[in-house]
Amino acid sequence: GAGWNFVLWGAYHGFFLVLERILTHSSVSKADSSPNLGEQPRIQPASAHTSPKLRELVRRTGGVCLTFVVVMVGWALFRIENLADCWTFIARLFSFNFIASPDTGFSSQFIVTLIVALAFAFVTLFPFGKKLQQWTFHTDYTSRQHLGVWIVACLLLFFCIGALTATDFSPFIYFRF
Amino acid sequence: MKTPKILCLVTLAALLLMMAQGQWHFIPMRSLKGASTMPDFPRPYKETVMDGSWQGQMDKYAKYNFGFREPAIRLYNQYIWSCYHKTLNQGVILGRNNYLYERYFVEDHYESRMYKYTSDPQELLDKFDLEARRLAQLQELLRERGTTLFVAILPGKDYVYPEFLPPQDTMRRTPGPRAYPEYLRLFEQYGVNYVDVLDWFLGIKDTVTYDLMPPLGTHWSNIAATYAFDSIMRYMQHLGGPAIRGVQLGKPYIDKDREPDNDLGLLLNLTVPPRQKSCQYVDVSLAPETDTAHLKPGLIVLGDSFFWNIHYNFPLDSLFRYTHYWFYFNTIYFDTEHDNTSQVDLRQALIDADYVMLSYCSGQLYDLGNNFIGKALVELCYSDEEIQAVRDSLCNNIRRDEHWRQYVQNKAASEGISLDQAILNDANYLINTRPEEYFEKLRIGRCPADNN
Repeated sequence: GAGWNFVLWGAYHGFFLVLERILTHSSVSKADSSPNLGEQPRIQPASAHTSPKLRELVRRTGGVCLTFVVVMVGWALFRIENLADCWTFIARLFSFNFIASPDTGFSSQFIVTLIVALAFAFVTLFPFGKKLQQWTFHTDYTSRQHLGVWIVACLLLFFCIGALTATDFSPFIYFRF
Repeated sequence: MKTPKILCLVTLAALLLMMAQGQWHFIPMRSLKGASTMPDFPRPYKETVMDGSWQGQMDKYAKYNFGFREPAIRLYNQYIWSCYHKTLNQGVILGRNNYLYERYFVEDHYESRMYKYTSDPQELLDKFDLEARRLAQLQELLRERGTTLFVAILPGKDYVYPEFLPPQDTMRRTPGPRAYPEYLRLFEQYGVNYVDVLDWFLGIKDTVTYDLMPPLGTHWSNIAATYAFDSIMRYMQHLGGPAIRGVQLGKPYIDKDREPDNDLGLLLNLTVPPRQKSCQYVDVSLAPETDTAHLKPGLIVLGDSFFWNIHYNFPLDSLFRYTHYWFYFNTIYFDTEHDNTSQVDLRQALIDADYVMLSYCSGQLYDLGNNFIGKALVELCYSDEEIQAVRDSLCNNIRRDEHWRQYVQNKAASEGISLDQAILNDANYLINTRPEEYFEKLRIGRCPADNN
């Protein structure tokens, strides 16, 4: 059904998209403005001696972390209809309270799921991940590759359907069978 | 045609096949084990669509009705079991040494079973006391009519094998009373006939060479049930009821071809179910008949699923005139005339029977009788006309009370029945569960007819 939390999520997402466009446009504009010919070069501040690669790494890492936090908080808005519960959830995200939930705990299943989720979330930051992404989405497959990927996709689809259904299925013993 | 297009068409065909299988089930599939409530197709109404409840109901309906559901569930369950040694079935708890328990046995052991019924321990104790007093009264009324009533307390896995129970989870609650010790005390206090099979199991646990309750099963093992019922029949005759023909028990043997008692293992619904070692069995044969004129007694068994092992092992047709199994005082088995206890003339059935056995394991004692005891008292103490008068009065009260009527109306809508039927159901429920409130003479604990 409809809910105000979806409106809020849309506004939240839209806000950060606009902000990102503004900031990106500003930094692109600054990069385009170069000194006129004949002007004496200004005395560079000490930070200018920092390696460009390091600056780029810090910028990118900060950007990735900030984007991750913004998107995760946004998912809470999307998923939780009751706004009071939503604020409580978001507060808990930043509470740094590592006492495990009694229902799930830090079980092996939780840890495996977390590792897989982290891998999918951040793998494309690394060269290996970029290559994998390139091969997966931007390369023409051979017929054999099409077939192989299709089989894997079908198996994963079937597995996901099983996961969606099995978690709600708890039969009981009514009589001996 | 290019490979992607072909694969796309194959995918569409597979999805259509899945939908068709969900509708017509033309490819036979090994069914999933266990009982569950199948949701009906939810009709879309403006209110339910707008508030989102229809979507949730449709989601649930789709989960239960898509094709190839059975292998999909088994595959995911197998992944969870093999990789993490867990089960998604909330009703099955994995203990130590791969022992499986039904959830309510674990709750009973950790004294949190109470919370299914109430959070007030005294309320539960009062309920036990009331049921035991009613049972004593019913026992006496039936004894006067030539019917012997008794309770068979059957073993619960948490009592028999507590050493394999999992540790208590972190969400602890204040312990509540447990049904088994309370009812033992109350049965002694009020003089209720009972046979404590659980106590017998605990006494022989360290000496027997067979599993009293199988690791992957929830019931008593086949061989243990056989020995136990032999003793129960001796107890029945000790109570003074009609004689029951004797049986002879053979030597125990292992039967590898017979399906072992592994209902909990099957309830995991895995692609490869856990294996259980073969079980021991004992053959039952009839002892030589010494009295050919002897009239076999009639037996009513009311209780949980533990009786099935007795039914499978004993020649009950040769021992009893009839054995009517009132399963949780609801479905009836082995009665050619009735399928459900609502169809039975309860008064006449109880008077006709020679033995009435309430058969409950320790974990199910919380629901002792399943509302049978109150209803039986009413039927035995009042005539049909008197009961109908009380019922009519209750129905009128419901109709006149605005809030009550609205509550019943909502219930009728959710169950898809008429308002009149829902009112009648409510009235019957109150009569059966709180007879003392509506039948004054039951309060003084004596049926008026016995005063004559």
